[in-house]
Amino acid sequence: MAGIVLQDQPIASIQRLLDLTKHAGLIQLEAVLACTFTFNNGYFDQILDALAECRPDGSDHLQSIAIDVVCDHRHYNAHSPGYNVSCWKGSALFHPKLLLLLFADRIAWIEGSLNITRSGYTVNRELATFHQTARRALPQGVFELVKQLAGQGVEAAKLVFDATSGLLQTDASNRSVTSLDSTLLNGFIKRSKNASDVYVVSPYFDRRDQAGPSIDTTALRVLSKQYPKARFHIFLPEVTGEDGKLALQGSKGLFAQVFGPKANKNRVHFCGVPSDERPLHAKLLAIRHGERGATVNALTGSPNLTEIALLRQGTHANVELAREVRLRWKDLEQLLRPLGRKFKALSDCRFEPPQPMSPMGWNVLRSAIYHPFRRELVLEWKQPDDAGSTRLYYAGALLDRPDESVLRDFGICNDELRLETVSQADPSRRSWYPIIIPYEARLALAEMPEQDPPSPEWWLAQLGALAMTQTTSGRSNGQDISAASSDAMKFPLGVRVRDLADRMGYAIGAIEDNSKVGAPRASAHLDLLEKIFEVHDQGTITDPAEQTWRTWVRLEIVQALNSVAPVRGEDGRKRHALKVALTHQLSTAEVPHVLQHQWRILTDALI
Amino acid sequence: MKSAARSELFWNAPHKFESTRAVDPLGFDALREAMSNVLAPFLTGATRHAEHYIAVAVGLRWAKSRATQSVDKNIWPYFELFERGLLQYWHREPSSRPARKRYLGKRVISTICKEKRPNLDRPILVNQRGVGLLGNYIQSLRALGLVTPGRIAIDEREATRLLGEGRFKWSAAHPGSWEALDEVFSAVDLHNSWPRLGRLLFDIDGGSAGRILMHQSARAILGSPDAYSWGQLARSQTLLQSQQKIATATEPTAELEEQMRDLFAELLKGQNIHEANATTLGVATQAKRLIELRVIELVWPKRPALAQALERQLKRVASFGLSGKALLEWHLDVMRARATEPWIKNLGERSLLKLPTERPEPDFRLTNMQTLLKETRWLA
Repeated sequence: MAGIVLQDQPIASIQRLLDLTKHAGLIQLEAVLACTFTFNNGYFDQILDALAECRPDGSDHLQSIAIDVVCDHRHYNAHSPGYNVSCWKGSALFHPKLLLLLFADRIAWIEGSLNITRSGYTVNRELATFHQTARRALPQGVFELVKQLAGQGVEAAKLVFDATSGLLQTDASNRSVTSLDSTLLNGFIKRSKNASDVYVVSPYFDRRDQAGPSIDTTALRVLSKQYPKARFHIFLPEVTGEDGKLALQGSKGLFAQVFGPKANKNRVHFCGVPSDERPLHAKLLAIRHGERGATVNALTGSPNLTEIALLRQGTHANVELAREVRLRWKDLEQLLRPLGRKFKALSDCRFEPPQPMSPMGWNVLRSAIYHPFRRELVLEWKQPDDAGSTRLYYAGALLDRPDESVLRDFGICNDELRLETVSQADPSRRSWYPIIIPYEARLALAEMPEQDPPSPEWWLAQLGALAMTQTTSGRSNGQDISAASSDAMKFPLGVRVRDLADRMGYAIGAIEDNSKVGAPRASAHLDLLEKIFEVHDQGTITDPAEQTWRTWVRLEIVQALNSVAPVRGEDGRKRHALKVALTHQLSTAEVPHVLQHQWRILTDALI
Repeated sequence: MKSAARSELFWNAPHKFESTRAVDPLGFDALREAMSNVLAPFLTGATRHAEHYIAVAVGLRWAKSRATQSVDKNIWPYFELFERGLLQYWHREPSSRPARKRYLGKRVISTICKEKRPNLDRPILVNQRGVGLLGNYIQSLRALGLVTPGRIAIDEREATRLLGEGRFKWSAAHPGSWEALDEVFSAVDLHNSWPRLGRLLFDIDGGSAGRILMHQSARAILGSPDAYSWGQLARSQTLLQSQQKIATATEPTAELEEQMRDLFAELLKGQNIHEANATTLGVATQAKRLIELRVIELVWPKRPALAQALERQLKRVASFGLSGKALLEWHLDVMRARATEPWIKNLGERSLLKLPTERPEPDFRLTNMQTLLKETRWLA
């Protein structure tokens, strides 16, 4: 991937991705992976709606692919059905910003300073980079991030990782870097040995972000020492203070410590960027070598100018994703022009230090995975003691025994996909945590089982069912007039039998689909058949007609499994194992008296 | 295909989506729907015409007969094709039926109908399944017992009771000419099924809870043919007691919603609201009225999270009046119950989202019920 093109006009980065999707074809889209520090599900839902609109059956296609968002656990509030949200499992701040689309023939993504929030994409001043490349190759920084997310079980990341076995060759003019495997500032400085000027764009600090300061003494001092003769041009957000007067958002003391209390304007000066209406959220560090005509090395992306973002690596650092680019000076000048040119000396500036908010969350869960076929919620706590010191709520109700790692008979209620953890000792400390539903399960179920155990008919009806939501991931208001009326008729046995035959035909088609996309769907349908078999246990009821019906369903399932063509590999083994297990169960089951003679003939023929 | 590698650096330009999602920051849409479920449970805000009902039933019966397996995923593509053809026919033959002009996707249909021949391949709506004829009528058809809950496969016996033995015949092949399309789709017009639809919608047959509510409401409407609001029907002895209360509550609910939307719009601009002016006092009065009528309890006996939030906030406003803080807390409580991001989190904050300036006058499905009674000529 050579060089980077600097666009002189602002571009709606999300529109870039949508245009590309229309060009490449939504049907070619195989996965969506988003990384963000703060997350707004409302805006992400709109992005998915816009993607879905690229094709008439776009919603159905999006429901059939893996879509994952990874965010920092401090900033998860809620999400909608149709995709999963995971929180970074390490304790470090998860701060990268990435929106990546994996197509059959390419990968395209946005990096930069924009979080997946309405503010990030529609209000703030954000710097973004857009990239597109043939698949099977990603640049180092993105590749490393994707690899680690794949290792944490994020399905879309696994698909991207599997699809990109190689590293994209990069040069010094356009390098992707991450704090996961390198100290960002050290590498950058090594490649920028001399400087006549240093440009720093430091973002607005939102006290609710709990992200710490946007700029700190340690990182700034490293730069100051490295470039003792360079002139520092610092762009800071300018906000209206509590007294109604404009002030630069930052600490005068911090700059005084680094440059001295009476720092000369030729050493450092400041430009305020109006941030009341459109907060400055871009992050940029640029080193200029020489006068006009010179080149500039710039680092932009997610990291703030802080020690934990730029001077550490691995588990000791924030997780950051950045891009190191080489530009012509005149191009950088053009890029910085919208921020203004009115610089003032330190002594002439009015500062208002940001007031950080202490974190009050109760982040004790590492993961919560819901298995709809088993109706189990599997919890992984960060520390063994956390369960005992936590009250766990779901849909407003306190869950029993949060110390157990598996909550059985768990149902998803009104599309609520989050848990609330509350400290027992200090109930004001509370956090939301996303419930993950395995991607495969979504491929077989049009909806999730609700709180009460679903009936056998409900499970059977999932075979070939169609999601009827109004939007890709729309949330209903709980208004279901068919449920309200309770007037649904009972359909006669003849109808049920024909319906059963149709559903088995559909199941066979789904299981025999051995295409790459079809394989997880086939596996999910095997799980569904197993579940349908399990819930149609004739031994648990006394009504002879219903016993006969359940026996019939089980027989049809085994017959369906017997009729599918054998295949090799893991899918084939799973299919064969299920066939053997269910055939055995069927042949040993108690059957209704009236059916016993015919039953024996049938099962003998099957074994 | 190999795509060329490309990288660009730029300032992000704001991009706002034209949202198609429901806008209900104070929970009133959900409340109105729940109230309407007591007054006209088998209908929705989009179930307006007998001709639509019959067309959807014909289409579903035909689509099921064409599908190789009658599972929803295989039935839908045939219905999609049927709907496109039918709407093109309706555009060409509007007759004097208002139903033939009231559907989504008219602009595309109108363009197609100017072409030389019909086009059944061109999409008419981005989300035809969700917002087209099927999406609008499927819940009602399920409630009537024509379609199994959670599915789109129609029950043959019930379909025959409604539509008769005659079948819509079409091979699903492209009609090729406008004349051929007209010939195929004119068979969908089963006007003689409309009275049967009326009986299905409004007869008390079987006496389930939903049927009783529909039947009583229908009788009340026939008893006061000039009524233009449920409030006017509230004293009808034909309505059940719970329906009388909800009918009484429709006007205070609509007024409360209108006033609170206006105040919330101010809050979204970063402005606070003045306490104790005529509007905030009016809001408190309407909230008291809804509590007296026990509206939440009647429409949401199982008390889902949203019901609890609305009840809490109504009581609070009724007791302490409405302030900027109380209105914000109302919004936050509703958003929490829905697991949705609030539009604003603090007073003085400016929202990136705006309430639509215009919205239809809420009528709690009364017009739809009156239209259907008239079209099906149902008599108690």
